Amino acid sequence: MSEDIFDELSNSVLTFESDEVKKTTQKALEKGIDPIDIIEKGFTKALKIVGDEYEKGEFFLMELIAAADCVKKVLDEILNPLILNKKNRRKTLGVIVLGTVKGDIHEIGKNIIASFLFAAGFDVHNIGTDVSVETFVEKAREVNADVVGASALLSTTLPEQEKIVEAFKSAGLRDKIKLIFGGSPVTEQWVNDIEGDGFAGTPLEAIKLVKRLLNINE
Amino acid sequence: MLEGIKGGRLNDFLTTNEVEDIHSTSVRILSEVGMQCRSDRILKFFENVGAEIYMKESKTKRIVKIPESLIKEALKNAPSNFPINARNPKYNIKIEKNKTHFSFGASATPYIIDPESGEYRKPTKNDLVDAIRLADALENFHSVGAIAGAFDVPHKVQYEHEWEVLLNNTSKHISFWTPSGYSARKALDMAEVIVGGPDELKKNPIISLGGETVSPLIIPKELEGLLEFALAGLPVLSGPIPFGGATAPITLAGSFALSNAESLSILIISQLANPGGPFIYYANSFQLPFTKNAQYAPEATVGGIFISAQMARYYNLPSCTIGPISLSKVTDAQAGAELMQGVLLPTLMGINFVALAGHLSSGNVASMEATVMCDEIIGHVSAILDDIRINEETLAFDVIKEVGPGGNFMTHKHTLKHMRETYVAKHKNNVFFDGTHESLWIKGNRKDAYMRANEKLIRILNEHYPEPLPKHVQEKISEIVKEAENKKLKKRKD
Repeated sequence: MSEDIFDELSNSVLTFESDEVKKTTQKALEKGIDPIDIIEKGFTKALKIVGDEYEKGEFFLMELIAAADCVKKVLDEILNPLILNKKNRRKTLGVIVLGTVKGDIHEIGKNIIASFLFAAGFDVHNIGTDVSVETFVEKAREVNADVVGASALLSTTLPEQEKIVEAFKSAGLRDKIKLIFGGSPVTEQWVNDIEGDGFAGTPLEAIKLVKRLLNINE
Repeated sequence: MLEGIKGGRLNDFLTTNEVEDIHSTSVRILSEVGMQCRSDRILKFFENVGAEIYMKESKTKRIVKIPESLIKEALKNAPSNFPINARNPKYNIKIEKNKTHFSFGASATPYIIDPESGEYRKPTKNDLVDAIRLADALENFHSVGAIAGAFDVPHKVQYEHEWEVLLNNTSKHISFWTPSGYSARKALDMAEVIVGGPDELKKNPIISLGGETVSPLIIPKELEGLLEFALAGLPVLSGPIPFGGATAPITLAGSFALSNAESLSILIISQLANPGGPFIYYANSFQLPFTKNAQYAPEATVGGIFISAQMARYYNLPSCTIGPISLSKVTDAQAGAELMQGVLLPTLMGINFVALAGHLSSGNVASMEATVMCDEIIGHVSAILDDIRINEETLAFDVIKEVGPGGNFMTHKHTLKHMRETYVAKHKNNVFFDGTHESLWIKGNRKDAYMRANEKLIRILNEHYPEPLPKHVQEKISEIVKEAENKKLKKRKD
């Protein structure tokens, strides 16, 4: 019986419609299913399926993001408020702050990475676009981030990434927090030059990179 | 039934007057200069209809002057559309106006690029088996010819062995060549075993044959192969290849008029053998590579594709051409450009049957990697030329309104609903038009188009095995090959 509801939860995520996921979540709660089990046994399974199918080439970028978005919405709106003890919330592999650098409002790529990292099990704080160096540092301190990622899509805003590295050094956080960078003009060479910790060209690479930086074994 | 690509989107290049000038020059060439016919069998057909035949000096100087009435009659009889069938009916195609189909190979090249070493070597019968298995797997080829010769079998029976390989290793239509009437007859015998007899084969034409004149103006004995196919009621393709500056005038128009005359002579032979029988037209204007750099001449494209397509329309005949073949010696940038040109232009002109895909070095070298590339290029061109759907759902105003400025369409229902209709979604395993980020490309060992095509090729050869012929049919076909060996090889010992 309870197995069925977890399958139902997982399948609702695979419809990629948040209303479906909400409905099934409500149904599960009415049946007395623990919110943490809804996440762990229902959603995590669905996100793994979507991730595996994407790796195989069967699912596309949009589906992966849609699935992650559905789950995130239900977590934010329904489940997290129910889970009073923050530590009991979704088990997380690490805390990540993501944003687009000052002067740049491109965000699709960064949002894709946010969805993928969320789906992979990380706690992602997506702080939007045109983010100042100071805000990156403040947010990282506030949420006790393990990783901070900054995206730049323009060659003119690329130097902001270098400033971020400097700012984390000045704040005394450089040793505690890994800094990763992305964006169309960014290369591995550039990230090495500015003494960042890593670069990824695709969402899947980004997941691998973060796991490697945080010593998480798959 | 396989749908052809929607071709014919380019307008005519010549005015009607110019087309008629070419035609009337070709008529004059045939009626005033004539063709030298080196085949007794074919000569008989001309004699029977009372063509003027001049037996001058020696036996080889047999000039047939072909009157305009014969040309008109042949043009009147030849059909403008007909079926080209396949062993498996799902691969049947229809030759019809503005639909383009591509055929794999067509020539038994003396070299193949070894997929493992990348070196040139003499191809074997096994290589041909691999190549035809590949052709069977590549979805955009609707017809198959040999790409490399079986050079490890006795030369005299090479073609019999090649037809055996073709018939055994693909269930698509086979369009190829033979060096003689005898070999053509053997190919027909083999196909008859598959479909159940000569009448069945005529109704179910699973094979077709190309035939060439020898320029200038010679009907060679080899054309008896085409005659055999025409007599059997099967589709035949004409392929005169004069070279401007050597076997034709250097000027494009003169070279084309000569080629057109030769092609019409092949049409007439096919129609004398079988009035109303299926014939596919081709003429061109190649140029002798006469400069030090031996460059490829654009004139060949103009003649072989633009004018040829327009003449075929004028004659109301289906057309074929030499398509994605490259003069390059390797599958490099030159090959890429020539392959794209050889796919795109014939399709835009609405040529119906485009052959010779996958040959390099003007048709001397077989590259299976080039055919893999061609297959994807054909797919792209097909998608580019496909109908465009403009309607409320595809214009998606409501979706644009809903998402609004600064939003994104990535997870919108409309995107999820329609993304699988896109070309890349349907062809996610394609490798040629690579769009990955350079960082991934570097990590992935910097694979260029050739390396990617090679990997795909190896994967297909490891995975794809075509629908086999029934055991007893296979045995009968190999008996036919043995028969040819007994006849041709024993003769030599006597």
